[in-house]
Amino acid sequence: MKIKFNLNGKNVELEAPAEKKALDILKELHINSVRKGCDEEGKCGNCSILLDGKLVNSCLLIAPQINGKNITTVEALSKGGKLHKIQQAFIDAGIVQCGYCTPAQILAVKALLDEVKKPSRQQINDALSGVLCRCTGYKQIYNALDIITKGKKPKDFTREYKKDYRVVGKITEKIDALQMVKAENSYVEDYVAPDALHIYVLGSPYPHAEIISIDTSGAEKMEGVEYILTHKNSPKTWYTQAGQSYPEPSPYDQQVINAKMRFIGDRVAAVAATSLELAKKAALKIKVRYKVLKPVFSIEEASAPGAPVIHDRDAKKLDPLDVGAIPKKNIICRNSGGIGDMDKGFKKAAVIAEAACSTPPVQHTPMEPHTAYAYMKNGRLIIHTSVQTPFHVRRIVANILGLAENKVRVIKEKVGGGFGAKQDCGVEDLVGTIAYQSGRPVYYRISRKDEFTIRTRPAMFMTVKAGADKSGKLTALSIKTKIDSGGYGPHALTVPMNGCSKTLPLFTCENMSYEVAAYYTNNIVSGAYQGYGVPQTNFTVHIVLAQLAQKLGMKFEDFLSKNLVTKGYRIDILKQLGEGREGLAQKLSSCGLQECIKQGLKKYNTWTNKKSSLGDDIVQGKGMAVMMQGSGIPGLDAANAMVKMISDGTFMLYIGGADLGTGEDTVAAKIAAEELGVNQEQIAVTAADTDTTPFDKGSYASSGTFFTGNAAYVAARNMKKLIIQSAANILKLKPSQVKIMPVGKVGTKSKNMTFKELALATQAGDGAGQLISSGAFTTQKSPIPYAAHFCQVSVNKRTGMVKVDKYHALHDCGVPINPDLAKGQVYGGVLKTIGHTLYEGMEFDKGGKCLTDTFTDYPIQNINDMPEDFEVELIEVADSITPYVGKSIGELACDGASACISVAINNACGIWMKHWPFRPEKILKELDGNGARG
Amino acid sequence: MEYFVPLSLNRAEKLKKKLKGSFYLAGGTMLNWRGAPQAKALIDLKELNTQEIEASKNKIIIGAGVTIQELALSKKVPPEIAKAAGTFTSINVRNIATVGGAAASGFFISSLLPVFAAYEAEVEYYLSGKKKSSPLAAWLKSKKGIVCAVTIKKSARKVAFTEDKIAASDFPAIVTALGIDLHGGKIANAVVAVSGAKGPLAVSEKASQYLNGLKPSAVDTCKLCAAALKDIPAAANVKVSARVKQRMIESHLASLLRKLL
Repeated sequence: MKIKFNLNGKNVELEAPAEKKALDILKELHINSVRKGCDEEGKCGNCSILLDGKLVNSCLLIAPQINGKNITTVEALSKGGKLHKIQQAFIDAGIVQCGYCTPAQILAVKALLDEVKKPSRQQINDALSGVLCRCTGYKQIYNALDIITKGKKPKDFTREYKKDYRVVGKITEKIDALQMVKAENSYVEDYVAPDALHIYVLGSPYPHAEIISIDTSGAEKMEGVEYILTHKNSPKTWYTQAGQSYPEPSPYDQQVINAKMRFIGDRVAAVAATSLELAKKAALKIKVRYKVLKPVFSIEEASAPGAPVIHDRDAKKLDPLDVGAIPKKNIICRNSGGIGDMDKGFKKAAVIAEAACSTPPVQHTPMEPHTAYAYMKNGRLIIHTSVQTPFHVRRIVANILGLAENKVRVIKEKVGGGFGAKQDCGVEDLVGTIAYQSGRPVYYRISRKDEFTIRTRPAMFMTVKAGADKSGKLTALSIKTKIDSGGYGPHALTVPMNGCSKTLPLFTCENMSYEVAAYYTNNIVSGAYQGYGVPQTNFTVHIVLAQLAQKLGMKFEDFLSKNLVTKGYRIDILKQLGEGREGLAQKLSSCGLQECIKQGLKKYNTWTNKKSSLGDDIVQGKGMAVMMQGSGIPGLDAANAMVKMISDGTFMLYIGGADLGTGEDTVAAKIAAEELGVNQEQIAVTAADTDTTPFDKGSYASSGTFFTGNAAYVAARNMKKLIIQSAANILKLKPSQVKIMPVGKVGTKSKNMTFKELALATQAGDGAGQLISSGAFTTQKSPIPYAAHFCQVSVNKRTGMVKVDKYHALHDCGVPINPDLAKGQVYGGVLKTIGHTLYEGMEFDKGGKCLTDTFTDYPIQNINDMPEDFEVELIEVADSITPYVGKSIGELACDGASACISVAINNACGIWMKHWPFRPEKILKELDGNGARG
Repeated sequence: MEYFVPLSLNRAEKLKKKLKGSFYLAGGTMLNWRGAPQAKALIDLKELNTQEIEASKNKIIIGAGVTIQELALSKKVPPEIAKAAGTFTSINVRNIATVGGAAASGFFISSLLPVFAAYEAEVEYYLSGKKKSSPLAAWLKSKKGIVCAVTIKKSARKVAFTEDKIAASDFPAIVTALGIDLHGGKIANAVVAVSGAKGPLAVSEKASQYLNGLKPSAVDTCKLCAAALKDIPAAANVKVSARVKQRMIESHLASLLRKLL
C-alpha cells in the first residue's frame, strides 16, 4: 500500500506492505534512533518515536498506522550544530552511558515537557516508564529535568574532586555523548552495507545429541540463500570463546559448529541469505537426524557415577592451562587453597555459623543484542562488532581460520551495553568464518530471545562457614563454591575464583580457605557477568557473618568493622587466588572502606523501621554490606596507548581499550589532557581498532579506568617529554628550564610558544618530525576499590513482596576521574542487582528449555523500580601507585545489593533468604518455616 | 496482507464475515505484538467514530477507539477509572492501546477490566447489523461483535482497586477491584473483580453474596477473602505461585475494604 507521512518536517511517500512495522520503515529511511531492544514486545521502548506528538513504540505500529501522521525522532531535535536543550541536559547530567536507549529517553522527556512545564517526580516516572535502560539506573534523569526546568547546574548534583587538577575529577562531557544524543552512526547496525547477507542460526532442539546426518540441499536451492555453514564445513579448530588473555584459564572445548549438541540452541547450522526472513525459512528446510543422548541438568546429575559425558576431549592436550579439568567426569576445573589452619581457627571460635546459598542464571540484557558485521577486503577479514575485547577476538578468529593475526581487523563500534556478556567472541567466530569462507559481507544480529541464552551468570552454589571468638574477631572463614557452567566452559574457573578472591581479602582473619569447582551440564552456557562471582559469594558471606554477629549479640556494623582490612595490611591470600596461575600477594596501598562505612552510618543510623500505613502485614528492616573488587589483574592485564600531536597543537589519543558505554575513552582523554596541560576538548580519541590502536586486553575485570587510563597517562607523560625537549631545542633553552604551561603553551614565562607553533615547527620540512609518543602500562600492584552499601526494605508478610525503600552506596573509587559517570555506573549496577536479588532469574522446563527468554517473562527494572531514597557518594582516596589512580567502580556496584537486602529482610522479619531471587513464594516459605507470618 | 478501512459498523462486520483469517485492527498493540500481524486481512476500525468519551446525565460512554492514555487523562470518567488506565503498562503503550482492544484482546492480565467490572460496566457492541449491550463479564465470555463502547452508569457507587507487580516494567500479577453501593447504610450490588488469577477477568459471585446486605462495620475480611477465593481460583505462572496470587487477592481486599468502608 502507498503511505504518506511527515518525518521530521519532511513529507515522505512510499510503498509498504500493510504488515510492515514502522520500525523497519524508519530504519530503511536511515533513522538510527529507533533501536530494537526487544523482539517487538513493546517492552523496551528503545524504538520510541513521537507520533503526532505522542510517545509510542514504532515496533508496535504497522504501515497504515503511520499513514497521514507526523513522526518526530531525535534526529530532528538538534538544529544545525546546536543541540536541543534536552539533548544538552542529558550530556550535562552525565546520563549517557552506552547510549542505545538515550534517543528514546530524550523523546520521552520531550513528550513530557511538551505537556507539562515543571513535572513532578511521578510525572517523570510515568513519562519514562516505557523506556528500559540497563546502564544508568535512571536516577540522573531527574538531574537533567532539574537542569532544564529549574536552571540547576551539574555541580548541584555531583561534587568535583581533586582541587589541584584542571580536568581529572571535574565534571566534563563524555567525549562520545554528542553522537549518542544525536543518534549519529554509532553501533554496528548503523554501518551495515545494503548488500550484506543476513545470518540465521538453526539451534539444536535437544540439550544433548549427536548429529547423525544433515541435509542442506533444500535450503541451498532457495534463491537468495548464499551460504550455509554446518559442522561439515566448519573449521576444526578447538578454542574457547572466552575473551581472556592467552593462555586462557578456560577450556578449549568448542568449534564454530560442533557435531555434538550440548544445550538447547547449540549451533546446528548457520544460513546466510539476502534477508533474515529468507535465511530463517531456509534454515527450517534443513533436515537433521540426531542421536539423542541422555542430558544432565544439574551438578548432582553431572557428577553422579556413570553420568553421561558431555565433553570427551583430551584436556591436557587441548587446554592452554591445567585448571584441574576432568572432562570424563564433567569437571571443567577445580581449585582450592587457603592460609593458616582451619581446624585451629574453628577450635578457637566461640560461635560458628554456616550457610548454603544458591543463585540461578541471570541475564545481562544489554539493550543492544550481540551484533557483528564482517567482510573481506584486499584479502583481509574485517569485523565490525559490539564487543568488549577486540584484540582477543582478533586472536581467536585468526586462530580459528588459521590466519596470521595481521590478516584480521576487528573494529569495536559503540557497544549498546555489555556487562560481561560481550566479553566473549560470542558471534564474531561465526560471522568471521562465514565472511571468510563465502567471501561475502555478512551481518548477524541475534534476537532478544537468543540474547537471553547466549550467556548468563552461572547457577552458583556456595557454602560458607565461619567462626568468631567472643570479642567478635573472625577465627576462620571458608568458602566452597560449585558452578553449573552449562554446555561449554568459558570463565568457568574465573567466576567462582573471583567470588573468593574478592571476598576473603576483605577480612583480617588468619585462617581462610576456599574450594571451587565447575561442571558441565546440558544447560545454557554461562560466562562473565559484571561482578563475576562476587555478588553471589559476598551475599553468602554476609549471611554467615550477620549470623555470627547475632550469636554474639553484636551490631553487624561493629562486627564487620572489627574484622576488615585497613591501609597497609598485607593480603597474603591473594597469592593463592590467581586465575589458573599464581596470584600476587599485595600490601594495601589505600583503603577507604572504613570511611565509606563511617559516612554511610551517619544516615543509616537515622533510619527507623516504621509501621506501614498500609497495614500490619508490612514490616520494615534495614541492612548493610561491605564489598571489594579489583582494578584489573596485576601481573596479567596490559594496556597501551599512543599520542600524536597534530598540526594545530591538539592531540590524537589512540587506545586499545574498549569503552562499552562506561566512559573509558573519556577517562583516558581526561588523564591525557591533565598531563599535557590542555583541555579535554583538545584530545580526540580513537579506540579499539586492532589496525590503528595499540594492544589492550579489553574491558573486563574492572580494568578499564586503571589500566587503559594509566596507559594514556604514560603515553601523555612521554609526549610531555617530547614537547619539552622539542620546545627547548626551538627556544634555545635547556630542557630543565622548560615547563608546560596550561593551557597549551610550553617554555618559560618570558620565552614560550604555543603547542600550535611547536606542532608546525616540528612537522615542517626542516623540523624534527611529528611528535608521537607511546605508553605501556603493566603493573604488579592494582588498587582495590571498596564500598559500603546500606538499605531499608519493606516486606509484605502476607504476599511475600519485598520493596527496597532506601539505598545508599558509598564507594572508595580512588580519584573519581569522571564523577558523574562514575555515579551513574553505581546507580545502574545497584538497580540491576536489586533485580537479580528480588525477581530476576531464568527458569527452564524439565527438558532444559528456557521459559524466560522475553522481557514479559523476565522483566527488568524501569524507572519506577528505583528506591525512593537512592543515593551514591564517591569517597576520594589517594593512592600512591600513580597520580591518576581511579579505582574500578562498575563491577563493585553489583556486589552489595543482595547482601544488604538479605540482612535487611532478616532485620524486618527474622528470616534468612538464601536463594536468589527472593520472589514472594520463597519469602512465604521462609516465613512459614520461621513461624513469623503471624 | 489486505488492509481495509470500513466507514461503517455494518461494512466492517460484512468484511469480517467475507474475509477469512481477517482481524479487526484498533490500536494494534496485541496484533502487532512480537512480530508482524499474522492475518490474511486487517479491518481497521479507525473511521468508526468511536474515539470520544461522552458524559450525559445518567451515564458515561467511553468509545472503543479511545486510547488508554486519553482515558487516564479524562476528567469525564470517575477518578478510579482514570487511575487504573494510568497504571496500564507504559505510556508508550497507553498512547496507542484502545479501550476496545483492552476489552476484546483477551490478554492474560488487565488493569482496566476489574475496575470496569466494579463499576458494573456494560459493553456496547455491534452484532448482526444491530447495536447491543451486555454486562462486561458476560460479554467477555463470548466476545461477540465489534466493541463500540464501554458504558458506565453515573452514580454514587464506591469503587477502588489495587494491584501488585513483581517489577515495575512487568504486567501486574494480580489486579483486584471492589465496587459497592450503600443503600440505607448497607452494602448493595457489591462486585469483587480480579484480573490475573487465571485470566483477564474473574468476578466472584460468592463475595458479592457475602457482602450484599451487610453493614460495613460487620464485614469480616477473612470471610470475604474466603468467599472470593472460592470463586477465583489462581494459577501459577513462571514468576508467581498460585498461593502468592491468592495472598495478593487477600491483601488487596483487606486494603480495599479499609479504603471504601
